[in-house]
Amino acid sequence: MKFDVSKIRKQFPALSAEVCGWNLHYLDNAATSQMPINVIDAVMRHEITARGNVQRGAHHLAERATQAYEGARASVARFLNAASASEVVFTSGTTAAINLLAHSLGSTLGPGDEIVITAAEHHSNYVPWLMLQKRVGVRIRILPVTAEGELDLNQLSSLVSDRCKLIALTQCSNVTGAETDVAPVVKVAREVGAQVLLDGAQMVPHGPVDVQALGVDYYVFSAHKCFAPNGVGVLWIRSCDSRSLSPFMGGGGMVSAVSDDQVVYAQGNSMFEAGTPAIAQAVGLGKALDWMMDLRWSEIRQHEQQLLQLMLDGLSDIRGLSILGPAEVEKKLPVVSFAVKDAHPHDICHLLNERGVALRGGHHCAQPLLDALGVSSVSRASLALYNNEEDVLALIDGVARAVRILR
Amino acid sequence: MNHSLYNAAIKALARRCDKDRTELGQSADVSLINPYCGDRVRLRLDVKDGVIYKLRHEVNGCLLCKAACTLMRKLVENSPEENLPLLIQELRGLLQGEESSEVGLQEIEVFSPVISMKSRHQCVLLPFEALHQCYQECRTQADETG
Repeated sequence: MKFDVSKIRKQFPALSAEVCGWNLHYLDNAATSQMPINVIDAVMRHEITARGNVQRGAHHLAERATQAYEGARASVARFLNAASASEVVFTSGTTAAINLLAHSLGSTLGPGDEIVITAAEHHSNYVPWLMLQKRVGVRIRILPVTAEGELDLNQLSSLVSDRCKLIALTQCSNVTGAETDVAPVVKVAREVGAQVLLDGAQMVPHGPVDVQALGVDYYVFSAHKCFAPNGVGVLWIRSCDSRSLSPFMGGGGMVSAVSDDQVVYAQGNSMFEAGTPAIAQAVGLGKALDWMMDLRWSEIRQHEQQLLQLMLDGLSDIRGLSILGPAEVEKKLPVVSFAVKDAHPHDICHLLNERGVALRGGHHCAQPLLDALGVSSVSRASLALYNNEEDVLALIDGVARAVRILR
Repeated sequence: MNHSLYNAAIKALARRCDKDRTELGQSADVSLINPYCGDRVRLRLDVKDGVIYKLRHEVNGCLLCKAACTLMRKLVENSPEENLPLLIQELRGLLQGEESSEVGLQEIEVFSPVISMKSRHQCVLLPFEALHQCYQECRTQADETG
């Protein structure tokens, strides 16, 4: 059965907007995706009928809030195929999740230990590890990318020594859209007893994930990129209860007992959720993931790949335009960054906005990758399941027009 | 006034923003990066007897950034150094939508179309902020040499 994109689009009120007198063509999904009406409703309904604080409250609203919050945690676990909801830690986003791990795991590391990251990482999976290097003296080793912007996995074995404690890498580049072949990374990590953190921020919007099949130890993602509210994200920790991790932030909710001279930490995921969490946002995330799990992703993947091919073909025809990353749609998600000779990304994005096309321009918080590819900034178009052919054609026309104006 | 951001005047200024490789004498040298987009501006400035003698720039940035750099050079070269803070103040004021208070600085009004586009203010300001830092560096050098 063919994927009916018009049916999906009707569920997203934001997509019917006009910008500068033109229909909105939203192609900035790698930064933030739009929310379907059922998620917006779920958040609003929660705030009206279940607004209270979670855990320990005995009154009706607190009980409802706790049920909704823990229900969202269960949805995340199902989406990830986690063994248990107790492996799911809510954070404020991917960045917070990685920082949490860098502090928690980092407190057990010191000089002589090594962490391997890659040149393709978003700053959120780069800077926390460089900060850890400064703080505790671990050595950070960086897996380079090929000239095509793909991870150079051939160099992995020589970078990962028996001192390596963690390999932290992206599942999909937020610049090139290149998908990581995770299996060989996990294999190399296991050979030396290292753990693996996978940044799934760009992957999750394109369908449910199977952390069992991936075989990684930690998985992180943000809600705002997968049709859910801002301000909440996930750190999944395999066998969270049995790991010897220390807490990151102290406060209410992450302790079982406190006295003048002693603090006994809560066990498992609670240890990492100090303070009042973003409850309604988590509820929205749970609803979005439930909605996603009801969709037929093989059809959506095909739809996204067709649009991606159309986009790659159309952009490639523009003189002086070069696309970063792999050219084969099978190797990437629908995230396309491009540079145009004599036309700066900011100017291109601005001129596309005049035609209702929402793009992003700049370094995309991936300066090491851009440096490796010899550019300082690029324009990026990124698709979600609700994009259609009109969106892609508007992009291609818009870029051609921008280039005419700017040259 | 043409209210289009990519009007002929701004585009003409941007086109004149070629890298100038002429060597300077004892100059202040400042590089600034726009953290939001990675645009880079490098400026070198010679001040002689209280006059901005020469300004050299290298810009890896958008059309607005290049246009701002060209105009800035035109406005400050061979002008008294005390004009610099005033110029920057005027530009910031313009971007905030304030009326120009100084006769002779109308040329910066070419950037009026940027006023309503807050996300692009820094594109115009970056070269001027680099200039401000250059100027301060020059002042420090002058103070140190007495």
